[in-house]
Amino acid sequence: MIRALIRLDIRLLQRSRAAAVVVILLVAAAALALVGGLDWRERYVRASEQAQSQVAEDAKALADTYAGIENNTVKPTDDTTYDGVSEYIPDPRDPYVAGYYHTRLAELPAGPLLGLATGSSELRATHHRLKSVPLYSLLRIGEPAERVNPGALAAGRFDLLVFIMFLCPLALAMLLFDAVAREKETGIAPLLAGLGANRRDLLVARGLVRGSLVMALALAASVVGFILVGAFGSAASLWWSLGTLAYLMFWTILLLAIAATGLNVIGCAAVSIAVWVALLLVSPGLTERALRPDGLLEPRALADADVRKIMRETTEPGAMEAATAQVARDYWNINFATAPTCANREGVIPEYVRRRLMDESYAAAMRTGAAREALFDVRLDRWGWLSPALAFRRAMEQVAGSDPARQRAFELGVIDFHAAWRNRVTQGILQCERFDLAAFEAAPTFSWREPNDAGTRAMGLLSVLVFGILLGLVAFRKRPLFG
Amino acid sequence: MGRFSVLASLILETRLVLRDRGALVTAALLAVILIVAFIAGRDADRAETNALQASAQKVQAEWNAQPLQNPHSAAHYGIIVYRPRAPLQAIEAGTLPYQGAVTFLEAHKRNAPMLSPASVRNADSRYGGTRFSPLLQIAGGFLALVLGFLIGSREQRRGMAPLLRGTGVRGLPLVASKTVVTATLIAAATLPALVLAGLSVGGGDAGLRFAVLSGASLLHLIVLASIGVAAGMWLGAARFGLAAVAFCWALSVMILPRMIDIAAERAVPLTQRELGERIQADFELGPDGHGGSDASAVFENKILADYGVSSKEALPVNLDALMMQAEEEHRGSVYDRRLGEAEQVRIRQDTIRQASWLFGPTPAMLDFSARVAGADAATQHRFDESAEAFRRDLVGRLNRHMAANSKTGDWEWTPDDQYYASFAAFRPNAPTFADDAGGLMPSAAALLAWITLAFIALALAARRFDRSAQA
Repeated sequence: MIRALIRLDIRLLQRSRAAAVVVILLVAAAALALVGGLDWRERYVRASEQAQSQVAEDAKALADTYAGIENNTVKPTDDTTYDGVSEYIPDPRDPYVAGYYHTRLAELPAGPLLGLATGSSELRATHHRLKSVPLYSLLRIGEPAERVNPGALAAGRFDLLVFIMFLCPLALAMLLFDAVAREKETGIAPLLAGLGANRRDLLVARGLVRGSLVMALALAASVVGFILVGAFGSAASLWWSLGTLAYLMFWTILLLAIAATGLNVIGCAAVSIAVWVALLLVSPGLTERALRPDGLLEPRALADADVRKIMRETTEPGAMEAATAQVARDYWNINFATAPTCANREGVIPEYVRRRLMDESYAAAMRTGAAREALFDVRLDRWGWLSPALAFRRAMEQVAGSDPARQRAFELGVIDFHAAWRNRVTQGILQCERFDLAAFEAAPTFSWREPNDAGTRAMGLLSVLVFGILLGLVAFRKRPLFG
Repeated sequence: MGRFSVLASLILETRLVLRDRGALVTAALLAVILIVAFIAGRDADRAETNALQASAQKVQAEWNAQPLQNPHSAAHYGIIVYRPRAPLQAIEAGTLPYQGAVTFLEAHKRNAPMLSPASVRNADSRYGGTRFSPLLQIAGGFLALVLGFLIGSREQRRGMAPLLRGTGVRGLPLVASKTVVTATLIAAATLPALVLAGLSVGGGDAGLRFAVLSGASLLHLIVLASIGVAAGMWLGAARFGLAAVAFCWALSVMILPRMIDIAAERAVPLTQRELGERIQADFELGPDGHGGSDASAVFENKILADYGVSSKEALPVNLDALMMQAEEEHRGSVYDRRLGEAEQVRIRQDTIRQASWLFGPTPAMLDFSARVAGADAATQHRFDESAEAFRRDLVGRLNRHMAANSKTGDWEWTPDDQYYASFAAFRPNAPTFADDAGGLMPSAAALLAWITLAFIALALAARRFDRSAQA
């Protein structure tokens, strides 16, 4: 019977103006979604290329200076005899000076499917030009990767994830809201019942035909997206496709469950739309809010203030000596009483002591902030399934590499890299080293390794599947179509 | 039906809606959604406001108690200011969560506000969110449209329209009663949350803002309900009608505004790098407080001439402090010009973004909501300007105090112990409703245009019903 109903439904869809309207609008929306997402990917990549070119210019200038020193066209100032009046020409071989002039780029590459899901990638910086100067002057916390119109930023982007998350369920609602009620209202139900069809058969047939139509469109748009971002055939594209199928299957079953309630056409339509609104426009935000821990803003809001406090306090009489002793003991493992003269350079050591204290304070604030956010993530992993749309969105953003956890991992990586680079320079100062170009090129560079945490995406997809199965058990109970 | 036809239609429509479980469930769901959204938004606002206010108090206390040091050192170490709460932030946060709430003020440099609250909230839904007003406009608006359509199309869909015409029902009373009943249903669903929100509104002109916002929101819902009823009367018999209405709403609220955003940013582009490069290039044309430049030499000669001395050591004032202040003033004018240009770019982009208002009333209502709540980009701009004015005053006072009380080259000089505590905390004037009223006009005009269009659509739907009866 189901086969016959499927054939019947396919013929109905072929003649249905409603289906034609839905398909045309879905195709047009998918095209716009691809344009919207890829526009952001292009801006992201362009900003990254600009940062790379700036760092390349810095590196070339440095190489030119080294070459100039070698062939005596550049004569750097000797710090020990500098009169404070004549022009100061920095010597990049001096590790102290090197801290100012050697730039490294720390960059978060575009996620594998950035362009299909924008996620949080607009909200935080995605590259930093690093020197061994204090961290607080390098990280611009909570700033977007690129200048974006505030209204546009607040509205968010229309990308393929939004298309799949919002418009495909809306299309399903438009195709399925009267899956049973229309037959009842138009009086066809007794005829179908007489032919041996029951309500479950009709629901399954409608679900298979109409659900498949929307899923096929969503997958086709996704495949175009994979090709455009160069990720066709990747693991991320597979996860994305699986997630899309699971999510749309969930919505198909949910809408069939509403259609099976016995409400009339108007009731089914109103409830389908209301459920769409509740699950997609309302529940993600409210679930996030309910799970959000307090204290997310405070550590970062005070990070700069704590750094300034260190600056002020170390100007008090005797404070610098105490700070130097503390840093020498706790971080540098050096005894200045027996250290070489060059390690006790006037002006350099106090500054590096202060930098170290400021970096420790600032990094601690960033890490505390990140820990609070990670706690939020854990809560969302544990309870986010309460809103299947939220679970789906988080899973898909993680697949696309536009999730906040990835950006947080990048920031923590930047802090670690900065510490390694600063320590390299500090050791150079304490051990009276001279840096040549080769030594700088051998210094640490920032490397990014993609986090390998499939938990969120697996939980997200699992939760929508479980919800779908539970709803299916309710919706597909075998009941007569008529009477 | 005669002269009582409106009343009779109204009673009939009311009875039909009260028997419609789907419509009632939808209205009840909307009521619950809005109440929960209000409570969630209020809690979110409290958490954010407490975080920023506590930080501001701590920072000010640290400034007051700072060790005695040279005023210019104090200017370098600077102070941090936090964005004040918007008047209706609990129910409409507008663009503020996506813009920096913290500005570090220091000598020589105007820093942009950083740390947007949304950036630390992990995922934050931008299609609906948690605040009352956007949810009312987006979710409530969509439900009003769909309910209007379903109520408007009831007779067409069931094939009962000829029966109604046969009983002498005229188009206008029918359309009017359907619109009134739909709007009343939606208003009733909205009312509990509106009352709750109204009770929680703070002092100042927040009450007036809330009243204006509530009135505009109800008008917006009526517009959408009217469009829904008119569409239902026109397209009710067609099965694709609901799909067309739902997708038109999605286009006008979810898709086109965002596509127009992209077009606006492409038409009037500005990148952070361009802005930074322009500012840096202009800086190099002015005096340098900590280094040499042609402009510094010109300034030094001018000061020497003003005091009639031939060397800076002979000056009765501290030239270093004067030079730093001259640099401050030059940089201030550069920032004013370049950031003013950037703000003009933002305004031009926003003007282009208004094209989305042509496709539906909700984008205009969202703009109106953010502006009336004092939570739009203009509010952020005012915060940025207030912080800069505070910075210039602070740094200027520190530089002038140093110039007047110390000699050139004396970087060790410090003021008396109570000096730093004498500075008042950052408390910008709260924007009044009158300040924001001008910005409300375009979106208010757009809403009025949509009301007119909605009523024209209703009148046309009524005439169509009457004509089909005559035919």
